[in-house]
Amino acid sequence: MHFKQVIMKRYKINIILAGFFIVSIQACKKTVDLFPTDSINERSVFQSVTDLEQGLFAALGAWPGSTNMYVNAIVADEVKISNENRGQGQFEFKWQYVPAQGGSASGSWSSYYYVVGLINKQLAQFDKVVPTNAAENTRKEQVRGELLALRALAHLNLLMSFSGKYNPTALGVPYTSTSDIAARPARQSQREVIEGIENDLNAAYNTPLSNAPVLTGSAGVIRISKSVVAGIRARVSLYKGEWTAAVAHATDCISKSGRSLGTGTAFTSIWTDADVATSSEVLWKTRFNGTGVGTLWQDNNGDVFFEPSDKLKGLFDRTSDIRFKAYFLINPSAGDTCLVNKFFSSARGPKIVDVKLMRIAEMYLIRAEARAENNDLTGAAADYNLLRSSRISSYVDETFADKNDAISKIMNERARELCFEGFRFFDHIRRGLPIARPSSDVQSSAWQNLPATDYRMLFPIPQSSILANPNMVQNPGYN
Amino acid sequence: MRKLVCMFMALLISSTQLMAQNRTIIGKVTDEGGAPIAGASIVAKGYQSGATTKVDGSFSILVPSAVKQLVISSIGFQSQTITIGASGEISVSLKPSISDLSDVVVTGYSRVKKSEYVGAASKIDKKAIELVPVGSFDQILQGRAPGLRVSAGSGQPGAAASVQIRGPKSISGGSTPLYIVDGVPVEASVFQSLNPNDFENVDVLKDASAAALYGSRGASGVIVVTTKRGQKGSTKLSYRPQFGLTQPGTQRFEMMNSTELLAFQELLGAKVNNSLPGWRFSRRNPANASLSAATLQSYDAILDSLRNNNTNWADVFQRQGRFQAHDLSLSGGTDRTRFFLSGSYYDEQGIGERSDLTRYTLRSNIDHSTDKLNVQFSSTVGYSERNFIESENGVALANPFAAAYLAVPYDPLFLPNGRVNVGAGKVGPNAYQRIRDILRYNNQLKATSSLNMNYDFTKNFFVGGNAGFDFRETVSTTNLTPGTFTAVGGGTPAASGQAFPSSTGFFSKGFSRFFQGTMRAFAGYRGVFGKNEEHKITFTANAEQIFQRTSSFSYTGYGINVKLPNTPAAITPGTVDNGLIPAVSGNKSERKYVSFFGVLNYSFSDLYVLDFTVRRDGASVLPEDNRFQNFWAAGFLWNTLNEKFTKNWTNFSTLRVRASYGRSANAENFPFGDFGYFPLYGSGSYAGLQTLVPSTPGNPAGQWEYTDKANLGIEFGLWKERLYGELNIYNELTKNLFISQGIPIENGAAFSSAQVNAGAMRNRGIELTLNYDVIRNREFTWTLSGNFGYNQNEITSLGQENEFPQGTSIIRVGLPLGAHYINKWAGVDAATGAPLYYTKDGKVTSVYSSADQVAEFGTFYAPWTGGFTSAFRYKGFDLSAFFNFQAKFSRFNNQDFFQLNHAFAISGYNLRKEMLTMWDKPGDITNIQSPLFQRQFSSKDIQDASYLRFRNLLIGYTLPASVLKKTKAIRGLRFYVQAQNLHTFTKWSGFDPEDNNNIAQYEYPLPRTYTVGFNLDF
Repeated sequence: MHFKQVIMKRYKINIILAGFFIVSIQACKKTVDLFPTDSINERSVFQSVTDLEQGLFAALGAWPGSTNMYVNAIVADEVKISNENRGQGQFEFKWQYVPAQGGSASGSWSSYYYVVGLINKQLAQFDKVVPTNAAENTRKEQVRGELLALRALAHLNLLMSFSGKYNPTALGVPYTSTSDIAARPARQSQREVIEGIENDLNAAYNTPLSNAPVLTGSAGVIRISKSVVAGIRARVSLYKGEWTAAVAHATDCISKSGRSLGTGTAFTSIWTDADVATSSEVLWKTRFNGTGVGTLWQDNNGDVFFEPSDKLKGLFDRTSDIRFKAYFLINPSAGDTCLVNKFFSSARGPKIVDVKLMRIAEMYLIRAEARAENNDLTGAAADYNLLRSSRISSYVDETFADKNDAISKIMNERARELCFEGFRFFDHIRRGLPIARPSSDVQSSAWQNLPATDYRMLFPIPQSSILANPNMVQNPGYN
Repeated sequence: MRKLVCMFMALLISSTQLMAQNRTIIGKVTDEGGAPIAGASIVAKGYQSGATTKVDGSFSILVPSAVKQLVISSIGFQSQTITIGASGEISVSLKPSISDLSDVVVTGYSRVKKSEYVGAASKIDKKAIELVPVGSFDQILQGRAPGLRVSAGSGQPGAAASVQIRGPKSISGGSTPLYIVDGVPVEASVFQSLNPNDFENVDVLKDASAAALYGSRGASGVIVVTTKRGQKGSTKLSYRPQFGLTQPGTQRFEMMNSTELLAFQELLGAKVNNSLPGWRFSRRNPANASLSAATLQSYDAILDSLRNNNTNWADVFQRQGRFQAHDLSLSGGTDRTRFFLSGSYYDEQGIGERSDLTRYTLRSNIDHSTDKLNVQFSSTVGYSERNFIESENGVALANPFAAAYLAVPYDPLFLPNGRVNVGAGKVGPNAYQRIRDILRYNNQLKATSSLNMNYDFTKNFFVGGNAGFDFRETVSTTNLTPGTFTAVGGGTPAASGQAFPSSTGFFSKGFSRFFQGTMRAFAGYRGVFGKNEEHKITFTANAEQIFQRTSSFSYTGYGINVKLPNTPAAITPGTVDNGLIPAVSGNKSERKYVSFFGVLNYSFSDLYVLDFTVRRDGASVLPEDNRFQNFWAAGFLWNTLNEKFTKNWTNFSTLRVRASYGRSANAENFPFGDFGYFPLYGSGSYAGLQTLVPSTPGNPAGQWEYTDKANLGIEFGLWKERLYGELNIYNELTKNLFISQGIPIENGAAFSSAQVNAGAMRNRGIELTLNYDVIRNREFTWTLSGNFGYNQNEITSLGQENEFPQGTSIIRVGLPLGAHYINKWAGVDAATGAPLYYTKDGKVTSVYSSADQVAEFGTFYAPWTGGFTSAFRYKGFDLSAFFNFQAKFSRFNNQDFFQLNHAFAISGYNLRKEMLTMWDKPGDITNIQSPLFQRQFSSKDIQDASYLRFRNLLIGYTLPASVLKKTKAIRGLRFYVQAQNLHTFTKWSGFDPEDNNNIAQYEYPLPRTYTVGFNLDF
């Protein structure tokens, strides 16, 4: 009997155990089915127009405006290396780009394509969002327009950095309008890229974007309006050398914006972000909050990495041109050393200043240049003088002797007006000009002149893309 | 511990119902000197009846008449098998066991006699852990077990170490072992609130048979901590205080004094114009040529007064710290219930100003056993407070260990008016003011509890379970006083992202919480079969569930009212007008595991043991298709001395051969995140607006990183264990390693890389433990013991890629992980002063190009590690000297890059004395390049970091029992003095060769600690 009890007991135990395991295995499959709480699954990220706007804000925030500003200055002739520079940007300044290690020159490739990626990922899901009323539909289409315009401008800047002067048959960059993690796109011809850019800009222009810049809360003009789309079109035309179109788009931008050139403090307050956002000549900017973009030039310990070049300073009439004091901080006691003042301080803190991505002044300069190229010297002079008279006290209008005189003066005016705004190197590229620095701006003659035909006028495509993409072709000279 | 196990087994055995024809055996158990041994276990061989001895050593046991032999064992003694004579009366004297290593292996799931354990495990006894004046217990494990590589990353009190068992197991993730305390997993690398004096011992499990037991979490090895438990018998009270001091070690480099630095600035100025005082006021400066004699004289006076200031900044930032610790424990119990209660206080001041650890802990361990039930309850609560230096391990002027050497000696600390001499470029005073006016500290509450139960239904069937949790909350506080130089500007914002409002001071708190809960149920069978009971089988089936939850929250408020220091009450509420908007952030995450596993153990005649483990783990961190995975191991043990043919091998007292093979994964260091397989978007912010940003590309094929482990070991004891040792060789292949595979960003996916399972790595090595009693007699013993490990790590595959350069290091197939990758230094051109480098093909060049980087400088993961101890005991005196070493590894000395770099002199920092030999004119033979050339990263800054450290010296005296007997209250009294980190032998010229990464960046060095203390037992 003892024996039997034991057997019974064993059975009971076995049944209990078996039951326990079956129940727990079923329960456990669900137990380990967890979902993230702090992140959103890609499949369900865009469900409302507000979501789309938040996606747009991410793309606007990721816009590498500061990289563009920085690289254009240091690769061209806007700065010289300061004594306190511990290596910051020196490779780019010396045209010794290191594709394997990134750096800001090659780095712009990743920055712009990252924005393109954000845009394409969002556009792929864009039409999942169904607006509930007409107002929502307008907001949605506005977002689409801004995304397309951003995508176009990203590719334009990529072309200028990695493909060079306009030549429709030259090897361009991939025009990326999809988002596919498995794709290994090849470089397309410039013509194809320009086609993509123009298609996007046309589509953006046809969305119900408002004409004039729109303010987003206290951040101001961080979104893209139709005037900005027109401005980007003007840049594309300028790059292509389509002067008539450039005049038309610049004019369109100026008239749609409803803004005019600032004078006096209306102008100087731009550089401390104290300008009146509703009337300022700034049409679009990237907001900096917390991050000191000005630390690219001088860090918060006071160490100066780059200072404005002698060449740039020498372009200004120091006494009557208000831009000189607005753009530079001169320290008379320490030789003529000075600091970049465009990103020096704002109410939000030292070195925390917005990067201006489009100002009305640029449009006058584009139109002046395009009119000069079209031999409309009077029209060119009108734009040129309008800009200068709003910057220079007791200004006397100038006239141009001939087209060359006009172009040379307008290019100098671009150098003055738009320094540290991301144009200088691109101006060399699109006009096929060599970079020439005076000896006082360099420590070695090796860094003084870069011929327009030199391979280093194009940035190397980052090694990471060369390695990861078998279809990618490096620019000549970097292999 | 062994006693406990023996008692446990005895209890199990005695619960068996026995048949008729029994007889009673009585006897007495003593030690070699004739003193009675209480609590010794008496087991009838081949049967399951047992008894324990009483306080006077006597016992009485009822055994079946068929029983011929009794096995007698007791903790600290070798067990003996005695044949029962006709009289039925037995008297046994037990010999002391030589080594505790022959004890029991605690796997966290079970306890296995070393003589039946198939795996490779090392035990670290409490003697090595107790009373060491170090705040984080992982640092104490250094050099204590072969194959265990422990590197302190910081000497800041309470800082955790980096711990690796048998080499790295991951490229993207970590290789930190799994920590188990009393059966429940606890958070790794967070030990500031645990009291190591509560630990009875630590088992380091290294091979497959241990790893497979833990399935997806065991690949990096397991460290199992067993805490102290009460013993049956009279209640014991023990008080163990310790007092001492901490001191900075000696530096192996010299900085310039004021005179030298000013002279150097002049030398530099002649080459590179600068505004440093040594050049600015120099008569050699051409800019001063036209100045009047009076001005020049005033310049001379300025230089003179600067030369007269010689601030020793190292003294300003470093100090001699105080140390004290108090431990009080109470233990005891009855047959059925035993307890261990303890409380401790630990207070260590670091060698850096404003760095310390204060810890309070309480523990209660309770055991209860009946005939069939065995319950263990363990619980500890710890609370600790740590003050921190700033920017630890960072090249930042706020880091006092950087400021101590970068600050110029001619700057005085205080102005004549008594204020701190802060200002732009005033490196020393600014850092000093940060120490005074910024508070950085954390408070941590940690609670770990576990309940283990075992119930024997019959003598064959048992069930049980365990449940436990590990909870930790750390609250980190930073407070910046307004009005200070740091706050007002000039200084960098105290934390990245902090903007202008910080000039009004800020108060910031971060809460981070970790919770891990474990539940396990098991059922098992044990049985003995065969004519001579030669077959022994144990099988357990387990179901386990583990969940981990983490969360954090932090806020920063601005506008600090100076009258309210160090409290959130000082924050000014933010408005649009004052711009003092507080910053708030946080996150939370979770992961879960469910597992089923079975362990089958079969032993034949104590000759062979076979052990099989199969485990199926489901984990929330893997995509659904891969979620449930199998792990397994098989192990084999051969007790060679039980073979007939070894009968005459009389010199051997132990000889065992072990082999194991199996698979596990590295979940605790999973580099893929809790939800890495999902393509995810996160919430971001731009211009104060909420944004949606892609955060992970996802990978629906994500898998574990598997390690297949093979181990072959031999354990041997010679001449009655006078020489004892263990030798293991292993080969571990890790597959499926996550590597970051490049994605061409131009494809519009918004990611430039994704984590894919593509790499493979091998670790193979050899480990040796040796223990030798050079002299062993009643009055004098001298024991030498040591352990040595060699691990060869090699990356065997990187999927589509062959290498990933990562700054100054490279991950390349054929090289070990952690390989340095940089241009090879070729000296200074005597003609031009230009720095020279070798090209990839070995030619000398003055062109510095990343194309010439080579990987010829070894790795920072030391392949050779070990430790050795020499211990003497003479009557009541004892002395032990413990050394540990790591060899054949190299590290980047980034401090050399700063302190042997003219560019940093121009930026206003002090440099090392060697800079005075800087190249000046053609023909100068020197290793310091001309300042006309940029100082680059090169192999010049890579140094051999091999070290041998005199880790601990302990001298003690124990009062003889005969003296103490007279007090009638005191049972034991011992005095000791000890020194920690006494001396380091190394070629390394930075602070400390020991570190947890590849680069020296002004890490907080380990202190030298001297303490005195006593143990008082009632």
